[in-house]
Amino acid sequence: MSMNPGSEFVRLWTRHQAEVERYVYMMIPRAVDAGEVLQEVSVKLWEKWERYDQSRPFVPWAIRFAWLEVLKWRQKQARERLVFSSSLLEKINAAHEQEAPVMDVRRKALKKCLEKLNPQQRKWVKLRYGRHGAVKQEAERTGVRMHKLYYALEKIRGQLLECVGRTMRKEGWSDA
Amino acid sequence: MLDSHDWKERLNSLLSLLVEESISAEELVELEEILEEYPDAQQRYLHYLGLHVDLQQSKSLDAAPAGSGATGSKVRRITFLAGAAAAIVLATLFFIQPGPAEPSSIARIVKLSGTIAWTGDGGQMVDNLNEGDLIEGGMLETLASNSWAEIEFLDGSTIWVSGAALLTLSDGTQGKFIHLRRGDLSADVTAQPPGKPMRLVTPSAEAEVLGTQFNVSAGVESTRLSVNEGLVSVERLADGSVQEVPANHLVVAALEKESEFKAIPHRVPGFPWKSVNGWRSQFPQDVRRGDLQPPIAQYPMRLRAKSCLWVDEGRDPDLHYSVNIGVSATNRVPVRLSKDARFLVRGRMTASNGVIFGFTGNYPRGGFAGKYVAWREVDTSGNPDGEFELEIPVVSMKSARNYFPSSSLGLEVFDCWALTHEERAGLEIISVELIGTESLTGNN
Repeated sequence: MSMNPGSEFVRLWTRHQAEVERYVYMMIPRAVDAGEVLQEVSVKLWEKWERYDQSRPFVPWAIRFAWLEVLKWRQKQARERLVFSSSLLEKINAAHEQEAPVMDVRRKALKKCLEKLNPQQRKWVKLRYGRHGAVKQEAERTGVRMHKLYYALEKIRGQLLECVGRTMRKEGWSDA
Repeated sequence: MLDSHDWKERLNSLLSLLVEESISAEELVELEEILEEYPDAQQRYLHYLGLHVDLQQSKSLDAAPAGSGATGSKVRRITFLAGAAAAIVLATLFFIQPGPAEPSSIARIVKLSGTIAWTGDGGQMVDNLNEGDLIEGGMLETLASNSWAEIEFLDGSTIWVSGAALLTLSDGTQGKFIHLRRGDLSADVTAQPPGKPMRLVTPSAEAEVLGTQFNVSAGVESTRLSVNEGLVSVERLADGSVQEVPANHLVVAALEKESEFKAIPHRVPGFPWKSVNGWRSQFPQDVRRGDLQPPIAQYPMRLRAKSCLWVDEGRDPDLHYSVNIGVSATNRVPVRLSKDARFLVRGRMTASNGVIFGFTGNYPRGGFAGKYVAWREVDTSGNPDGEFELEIPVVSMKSARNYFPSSSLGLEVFDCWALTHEERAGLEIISVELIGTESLTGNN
């Protein structure tokens, strides 16, 4: 472990930023807003860095501050219609605490499930997640209506979720 | 109350709308009701959004566009399978993909600064890149506003990434491919082989480049592409319309198709290399970072500094309070620096403090050149409103690294920023002006 506390912060934040970003997005499912809040989280973590007990895992510590920043953001957006209520955010946050330990397991299961998609499905997943806007482009090029394609993607995501659950149950995860 | 099957079906639809960011206020209320009522729905919500983020972050999906021959072990042969009737429509869109290829180097890191993470197509993450390192296809992320990287493909084509950016690079049998998800990028592309243009994809546009120099800024909502030399074909993804962007022109492609999508000259007509005679910030147009404050009695709109953390490998993180204002980044006419140019910065502070003012300079024909800064102690004690004005000659601004050009004369000002290191300073910028510019004719 580095002796320089600043370097250690940079190392941990660089390594785990994506995980904290994932949490923030679950609370604030709009990319622009989630990005803003993530920046605030990084500031807060650095401000509190001296109090961080390095014998404890970084991510749960970071997520505690992320939660506070989510609440702060929620307060600022009180009049905005496109945000969740505070009480619902509390519930989602509590549910996230239950889910957090198996997030990594889910990610690994997803990798296997992606390999089980048929070629068409994999192509659409790749177009949707590999290149933003590519779905629309393909739709227009081929004359297929957008809503049909988004419906197809909705089905693929549903199928992937079921597959992840099945894979986890097979591996002995009862709550999957 | 809906039965279990019904709410799950409806939940899936609503979650799909949510992650596609096309959910209406009414649908969001409906989603909230389901989530409030059914605890299982909350778990499903987390699983669904987690899946969405995992797919977004999945490196293997982004190695290259369909049909490209990018390097990387994740690209695999997919055989066509005739499926159910519903799949037939989609099947017509399917391409046979190339077989697996051995990863090989496609580019070299020429220079870098700040915290930069590199993830190869194979999924391995490297967070200690060094100058001179060869890289395979993969994803580059610059994590802070003060980061930048210069990357040279093996054919000599060079890209510069400045500020927080996320992009994927590949180079294979179908040519070079850059997916700029967000951030600012400049490129100097050597002549590409016939039929294999470099392809650049952003959230709102796709460009084909045969050999040219250009700058591009990709945001969530729109992409601004400015061509300095050559010709770039840009397609707006919102409607598939295409614009040919010649030298000294720029185009803005938004995600919605109502806005203008047209290549326009970015030089002053009749004075091809003359900068605008002075530039003054306009809010909200030029805001790149900061909290915009509404006008009050004696002040127009102001930009309030926001907290920001710069992380830089090997150094302590730098917490500061900053604003960033677009100059050429948000304007049609490039602003170039002449010998007597000086910045005039007007603002307010709630306490006396040191202010660092800086700008990013690009080479006029494309490519990141450097960052230049000046430090001023601002004493507001004699002014109850805390208002201040700084006049900063460009020649007095120092290059932030010794390998940037020592003189910024002739560079194009991409953006500028002001920051303090203390929150109590309460920095607000009212306006920034660049004054005293001279004509720069003929000498590109």
